[in-house]
Amino acid sequence: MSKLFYDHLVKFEQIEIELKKYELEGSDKEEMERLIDEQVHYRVMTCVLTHLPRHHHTEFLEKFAEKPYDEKLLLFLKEKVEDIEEKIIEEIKDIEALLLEDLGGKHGN
Amino acid sequence: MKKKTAPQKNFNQLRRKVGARTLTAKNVFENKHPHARNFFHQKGFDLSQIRRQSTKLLTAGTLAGALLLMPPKALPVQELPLPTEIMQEMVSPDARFPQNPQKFLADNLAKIFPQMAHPVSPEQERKFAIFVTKMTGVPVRATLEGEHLNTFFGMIGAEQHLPRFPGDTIAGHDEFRESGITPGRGAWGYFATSNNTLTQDDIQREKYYVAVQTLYLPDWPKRFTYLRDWYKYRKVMVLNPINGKAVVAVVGDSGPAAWTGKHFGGSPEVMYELGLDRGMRKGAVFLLFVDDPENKIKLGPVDYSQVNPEKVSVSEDI
Repeated sequence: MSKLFYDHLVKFEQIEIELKKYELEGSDKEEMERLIDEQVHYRVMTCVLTHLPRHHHTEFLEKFAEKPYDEKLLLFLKEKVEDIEEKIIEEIKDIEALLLEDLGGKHGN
Repeated sequence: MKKKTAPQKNFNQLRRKVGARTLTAKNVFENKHPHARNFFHQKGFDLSQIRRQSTKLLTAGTLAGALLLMPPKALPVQELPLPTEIMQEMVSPDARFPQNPQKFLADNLAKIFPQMAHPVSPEQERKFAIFVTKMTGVPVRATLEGEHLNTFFGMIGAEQHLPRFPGDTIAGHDEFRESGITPGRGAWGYFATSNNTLTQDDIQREKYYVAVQTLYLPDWPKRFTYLRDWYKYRKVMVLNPINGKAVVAVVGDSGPAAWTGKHFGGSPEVMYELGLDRGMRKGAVFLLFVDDPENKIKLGPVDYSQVNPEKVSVSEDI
């Protein structure tokens, strides 16, 4: 299964609805989906590494590179950082809010 | 200079905005954590490609295990918690089968699907395919001609009708008009060039179509031309583990995006036949390739009343 350890925290249903209004097809649709996916990767990783104590970074990055899908990664983070799951969720909510702002500008521009 | 249409103009603006945010996110990550950037660089991949990398790792583990006979512990997989005796029964020449295969299927799948968070070994996939083939009478596989989706289990969500030809409207579709029709074409374009050339096969394909995440196949960019053609109208079976309902459909669109929380999309007819056309209009399903080189298996719901598991033969090379 192609998944990442934080995938279950990401459900941009409203973004999906708003994006459909753009009538995208083929490569345009793929490009937009890819850009959003990449944004999530960078921001979640930044959030994790910012809160995770520096001396745990190497161990985390090694585990992540070996098994990006492993749900134990979140358990590892929870042991090292208080409320890390909540912090990741907040980051994801912020991503969603900004993307909806971008998508909502369709008819105004 | 060609005048831009409104949707194209809006998309270009949207692409600039979202692209800028993604670039900013990348720059923030690389500036705040340069050691992490260097780490990924040394590993030979970019964080932006992590989803494909994840699929590559999983596929290398499962398919390599099949080829090299690696011990299960070496694979990033788990064993399907189907009762061992049931699995053995399915592959045994002396197998005894239930009178109600749909209920038998649902009762047993309901035990395992909540735990399907990780991929399974090739041997377990094979046994699972045999189990489903026997119970439904439809020859299915998780791997067909060497091709394997990024997952054969996940959440399916409701899709709209697809335009079958240029100018097709919802009025031309005989059922589930309340689902609406997409403003754009599916990933493989129109099913016919016009209403006049629309065939019954085209109508059936649009009725029973699914969307799968071809975008996340590890070698989608490299083998794009081949994979695009291979997946076009590829016959699959979608199985609802809660009620045992199954429907034979074709791949008619790509998606949904991973960030939707879904792994597959189903046409209004597919969702109806699975019993997922009410409430949230989504649910967990299994999706497997149908091995039908002679194109004999009809699209639509599986009629269990016509299935006799004892008489269902299974290919030796499944």
